[in-house]
Amino acid sequence: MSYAYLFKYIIIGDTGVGKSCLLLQFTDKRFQPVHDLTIGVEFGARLVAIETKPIKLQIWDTAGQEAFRSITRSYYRGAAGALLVYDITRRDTFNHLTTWLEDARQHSNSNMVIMLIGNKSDLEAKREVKKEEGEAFAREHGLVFMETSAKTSDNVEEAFINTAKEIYEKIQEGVFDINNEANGIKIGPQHSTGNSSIPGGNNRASGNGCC
Amino acid sequence: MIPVLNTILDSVMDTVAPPIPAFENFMYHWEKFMVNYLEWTTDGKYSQFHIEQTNVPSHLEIVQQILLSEDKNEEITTNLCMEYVLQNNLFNILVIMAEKEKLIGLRILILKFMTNIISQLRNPVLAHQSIFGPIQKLINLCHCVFYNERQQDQIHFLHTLCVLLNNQQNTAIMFFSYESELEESESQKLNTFNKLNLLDCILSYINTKDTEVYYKCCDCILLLTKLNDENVMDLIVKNTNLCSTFSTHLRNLFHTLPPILDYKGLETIELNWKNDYNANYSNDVTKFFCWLNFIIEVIRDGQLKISCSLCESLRLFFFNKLFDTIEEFSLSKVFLLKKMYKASNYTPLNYTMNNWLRSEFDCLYYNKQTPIDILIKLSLTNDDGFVFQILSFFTDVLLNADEEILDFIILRFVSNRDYYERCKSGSWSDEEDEREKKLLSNKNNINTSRTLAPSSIDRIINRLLALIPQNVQSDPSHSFKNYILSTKNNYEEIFTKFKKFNWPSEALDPVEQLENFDEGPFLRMIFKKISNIPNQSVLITSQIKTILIFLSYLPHPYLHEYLLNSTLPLKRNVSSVYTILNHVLKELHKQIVTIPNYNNELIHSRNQILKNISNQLVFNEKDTQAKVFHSAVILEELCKELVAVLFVKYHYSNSV
Repeated sequence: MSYAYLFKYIIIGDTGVGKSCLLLQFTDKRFQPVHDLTIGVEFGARLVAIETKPIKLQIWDTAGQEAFRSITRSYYRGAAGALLVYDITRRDTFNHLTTWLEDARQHSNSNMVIMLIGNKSDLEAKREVKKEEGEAFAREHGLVFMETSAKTSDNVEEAFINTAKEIYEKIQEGVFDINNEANGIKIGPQHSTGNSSIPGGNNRASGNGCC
Repeated sequence: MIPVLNTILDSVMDTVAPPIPAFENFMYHWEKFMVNYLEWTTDGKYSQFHIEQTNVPSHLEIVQQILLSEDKNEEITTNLCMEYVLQNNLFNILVIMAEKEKLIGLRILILKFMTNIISQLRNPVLAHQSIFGPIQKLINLCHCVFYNERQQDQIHFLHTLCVLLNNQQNTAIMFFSYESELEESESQKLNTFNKLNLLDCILSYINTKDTEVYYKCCDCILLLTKLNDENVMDLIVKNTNLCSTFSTHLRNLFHTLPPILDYKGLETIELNWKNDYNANYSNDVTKFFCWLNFIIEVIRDGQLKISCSLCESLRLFFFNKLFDTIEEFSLSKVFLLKKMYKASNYTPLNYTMNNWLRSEFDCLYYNKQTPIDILIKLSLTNDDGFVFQILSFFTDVLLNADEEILDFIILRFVSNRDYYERCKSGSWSDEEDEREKKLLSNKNNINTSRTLAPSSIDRIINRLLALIPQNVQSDPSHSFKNYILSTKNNYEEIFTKFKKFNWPSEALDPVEQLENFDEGPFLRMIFKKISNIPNQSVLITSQIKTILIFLSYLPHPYLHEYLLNSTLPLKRNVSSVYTILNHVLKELHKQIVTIPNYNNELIHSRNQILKNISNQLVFNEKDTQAKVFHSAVILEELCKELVAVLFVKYHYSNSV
C-alpha cells in the first residue's frame, strides 16, 4: 500500500447524477444500477500510477441533497481535486453547475483541479445537454471536461486519472505546496519519517499471551 | 497463559524486532479482539463471564490507541487504519456486539470506546455512514428508561456527541431523523420507525434520579437547541418531542405543587437549575422553579425558531390547560403566574404570556372570558391576600409595557375625549380659552402640549396638594420636591420606552358624535379599590398607589387628561380620581381627628411606612386604627407623587 503521493478528491454535483456510481466503478470496477441515496459522505481509495509513480487517490463522495450541503462544504477544504458531475439527461443538473462551482471556489483552495463530468453518456437517446454545452461551460470556467458513463465505465478511469495527472503536473511545476496538507496532497510514508510513535507497537506479545 | 513467558517474549521482541507498522499492529489487535470475543461466545451463546475477566478489553484498548495516535499525525486525510475502519464498517460490528451484549459489560465497554474515539479524534468523520450509523445505533441503546443503571456512561456519551455537534454544526443533521424528510418509500419509513433521534433520547433523562445526569441532560438540550442550522431547527421543531415534553413536564410539576406556598419566601428567590436542583432532595416547589428556569434559559438562548415553537406549545399545553377544567384561579396559581411572567421577561415567552392573557378561553366554564377579565373580576373579592397577589400581578403586567396589553386593559376605553363635558356656549373649554389668551401675551409656553394644561397646571397641582388637610399631614413641609429627581428619572425612562408606541400626542376632540364614557373594568376596579381604602388591607392600598402612579406617568394624552386634570369638566356619572380621593380622604380625616394624639400616631405611621417600603415588612392588618393612619399616609404620599409626575411631565414637555 505504499505510495509516493496521496491526493484527496471530492465528488460533487446534484443528487442522482451518479457520483457514487462513478466512485464505485472506479474503485471496484462494477456498476450498481440501483444505488441508495448517499447520506452525509462516503469515501473510497485506489492506487493509480502517474509516470510510474504510485499515487493513492482518497476520494470523498458527497451527498447531493440540499440538506447535506453544509456537510459537503466542509470537505472542500483540503481537497486537491474535485469532480463536478452533472447528468446529461437532466438539464437542471447542468443548470445548477454555476452554484456548485461558486460553492467549490469559495470553500476550496485556489489551486484545486476541477474536472467537469457529464455522466450517463450511455443514455444518448435521453440526452438533454449537448456535449458542446459541457465543453463551452468548462472552457468558460477553466475546467477540464469529459463525458463519462459509470454504467459502461466509459471514460471513468480517464476522468480520475487525468485529474491526478493535472495535479501531478502542478506539483512538478511547484504550484502546490506539498508540505501543506491543506492542499489535499500528502507525501507517501516511504518519503516521510517512520511510525515509531504508534502505541501498542510493542504489545503484540501480550496480545499473543491472552488467547 | 503464562505471564512470565509473556514478559520475556515482550522484552525479546522489543530488542530484536523493529517497531511494527501501525496498520499491521492495528490489524493484529483487531483480529485478536474478534477471535477472543468469538471464543467467549462460541456458537452465539451468551457468556456468563464479565468482560473484565477476558482479554477482549485490552485488545480494543490498543485498537483505540492506534487510531488516536494515527489521527494525531494527520490533519486533512484519513490514514490507513481509519480508512480500513470506515471501509469495512468496523464500528458497526462493534455496535452490533454492544446491542447483543453476549459478554457481560461489553455494551458499556463499546460505549466508552466510541465516546473516546469521537471525543479525541481531531476530525471525527461524523458524516460518514460508518461513523454516524453506529453512533445512531448507540443512541438507540442509550434510552434512559430501558437502561437505567448505566445512565452515567450513557449521558456522558450523549453529551460528548452534543459538544461535538456544537463544534461541527453542519453534521448535526445526521442525528435528527433525516430519512423521514428525504425518503418517501414505505420501506424507508419502517426503517426510521425504530430510530430514536438524539434529542428525544436525551429528553428521556429529564426525570433521572441522578443530579449529575440531570445537569448533563439539560446541558445537552441547550447545546442542541442552539445549533445554527435551519434544517436541524426545523427537524427539532417538527420531529422531536422537545416542545411537548417541556410543556407536559412543566404541567406535571405544576400539578404536584402544594396548594399553599411560601409566598413571602418565594417572592424574592430566583431558583436556578444549575445551582439549586438536586434530583433526590429537591422538593416539588424547587423542582418546578428549576424546570421553569431551565425552560426560560432554552427559550432565551436557543434558536428563535425553536423558542417560538416552545412558547406556542407552552401556550397550548400549559397555560391553556391550567384552567380547562373547573379549576379556578387560586391564590397560588396567580402567584405562580406572576412568577412565570417575571421570569419570562425579555424572552419570547413574555410575548406569548401577554397574548394568552388577552385571549378568550375556549371552555364552557369560563365562557369566552380572557384571563385578564377573570383576574379583574376576582380582584373585586374580599380576600385581601388573593386580591393583593392579583394586583401585584397586574402591576408587573402594566410595567412590562406591552402596547397591546396596555391597550386591552386600559387604553381602548380611554382612546378619545368621551369623558369630557363640552361647554354649551360654543367655546370648547376653559383651557382652550385661556390658552388662546396666553398665547398672545406669553410665548414661553408655545411648545407645551395643550393636554398638559399649561394654563391650569398650577391650579391642578394645588388642588391635589390641598386634598390633604393641614392638620392630618404627617410631614409638615408637605412638599413634593423630594420626589422630583426620582420622578424625572423614571419619566425619562418611561418616555423613551413608550415613544415608539402609536399613541396620539394631544387629547383632541373627535369630529364624530361622542358616546357615553366607560372607563373599562380595570380602571373601574381601581377606582373601587380607592374608595374602599378605609376598609381594605394597607398592602392593597399601596399596590393601588403603585398602579395609579405608573398610569399617571404614561405619555398618553387621554389617559393623562382623564386621570390627572382635575380642572377638566367631566360628564355626569364619569368617575374622577380626584373626586374619589377627595371623598376617601374626607372619610379618613373624619376618623383620624376623633383619635386622641392623632398627630403623633400619624408621624409614627409615616416612619413605619417609609421603613416598610425598603424592607417589605408586613403591616398588622388587624389593628384597624393603625390601618386608618397608614392609609392616610399612603394617600398623602400618593398625592405628592402625582404632583411630582405632573410637574415633571410639564417641564419635560417644555424642554423636549
